[in-house]
Amino acid sequence: MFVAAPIASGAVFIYEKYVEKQFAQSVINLDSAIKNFSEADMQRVTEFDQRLVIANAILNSHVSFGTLFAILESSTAATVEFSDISISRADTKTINVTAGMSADAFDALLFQRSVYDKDQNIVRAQFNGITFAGVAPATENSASSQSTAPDNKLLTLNAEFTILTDQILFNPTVVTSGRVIDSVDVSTQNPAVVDDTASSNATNL
Amino acid sequence: MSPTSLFTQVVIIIIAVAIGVMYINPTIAKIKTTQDSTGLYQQELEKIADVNAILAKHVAKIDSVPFESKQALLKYVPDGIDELVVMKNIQSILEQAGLEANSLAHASADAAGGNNQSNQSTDTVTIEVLPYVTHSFTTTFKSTYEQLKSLFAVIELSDYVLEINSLKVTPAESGLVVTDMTLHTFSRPMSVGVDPAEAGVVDTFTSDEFLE
Repeated sequence: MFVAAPIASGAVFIYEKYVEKQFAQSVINLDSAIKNFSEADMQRVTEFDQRLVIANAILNSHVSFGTLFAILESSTAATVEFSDISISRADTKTINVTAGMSADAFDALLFQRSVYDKDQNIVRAQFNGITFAGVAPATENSASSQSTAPDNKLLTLNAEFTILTDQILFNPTVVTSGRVIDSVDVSTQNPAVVDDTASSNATNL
Repeated sequence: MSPTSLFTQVVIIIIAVAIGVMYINPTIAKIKTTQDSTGLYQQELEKIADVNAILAKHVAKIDSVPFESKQALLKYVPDGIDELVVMKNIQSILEQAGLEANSLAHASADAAGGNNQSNQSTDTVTIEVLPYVTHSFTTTFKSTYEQLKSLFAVIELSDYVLEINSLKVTPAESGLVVTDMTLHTFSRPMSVGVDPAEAGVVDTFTSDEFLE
């Protein structure tokens, strides 16, 4: 007992110093690791990540109005015309289109409604405010003018469309290589020149 | 056995017990605490080392992105928007499509209270967890329908985001149409206290730290 107690004390003392040295080394290592951490690098990475996430979010909700008009054009029959159109984004997922339309006859409207209903790109198409103007008296001017002129249409109505943004998402590869760009001839366009024949199908705005 | 010897032995036992209780036991407890702390520090050290390693990996990844791509990203999502430059760009785009703007405006903050969508001002929209700033511009012009479609294509070719948010087309004389258009462009929200002149805006988008 007389010998064991001092020996144990000495051993504990030496081990205590060893453990304390280990702890001090850990603190030094931790300090060193903290000093190695670069706040500037972290900020750079965070900034880059933020830009990527934002760019991704914007790109995923960026719609192409050219595609939207192409959809409306392709699904509108020649006997129906747009007189005006208003397009707005309801939210990030849907686009609302309201348009003034005109048609020659009820049959044309019925056909048009069925075409819109079948169109996968148009979620909802609703006609309202349908007005039948009656048979317009034939005049020399109206008889000679094109039958597609909105003034000569017997039926006028308002149409509301809902289109999902997923259907018309902007795709840079399509735009740069597609027909839209091919048709652009900005150098010769003149706003004063009236191009009545330019409208494709019956989408005469 | 002499009483002195017995007394000595008792004293030695008492001293031994006292050493055990007053030094060895507390020291062992202290050693245990120190070892626990060392273990904790070691864990934190490993965490920080992991973070540093991941950070270094990400930095290396960013460094491997071509400079042009980084510039494009910076231009696509700038830190701020110079309204004047964007308006000039919109005018250029209209001219490129052979059109002339009847009106062109950056929706001001004063008009924020209005319900008219075309009058909405700079607004913060939250997508997922990251907010970005939306800048609205309105323009009115007269064109043919084909010119309008051509304009869509030219707008979509812009190298920063210029998105048509709303559109109103009404017929005008001689087969022309009058278009009211709201365009949106976006930027990363700037931190408070950041000098806009130093931040990457659309026209002067170079951010040395980002591009380094």
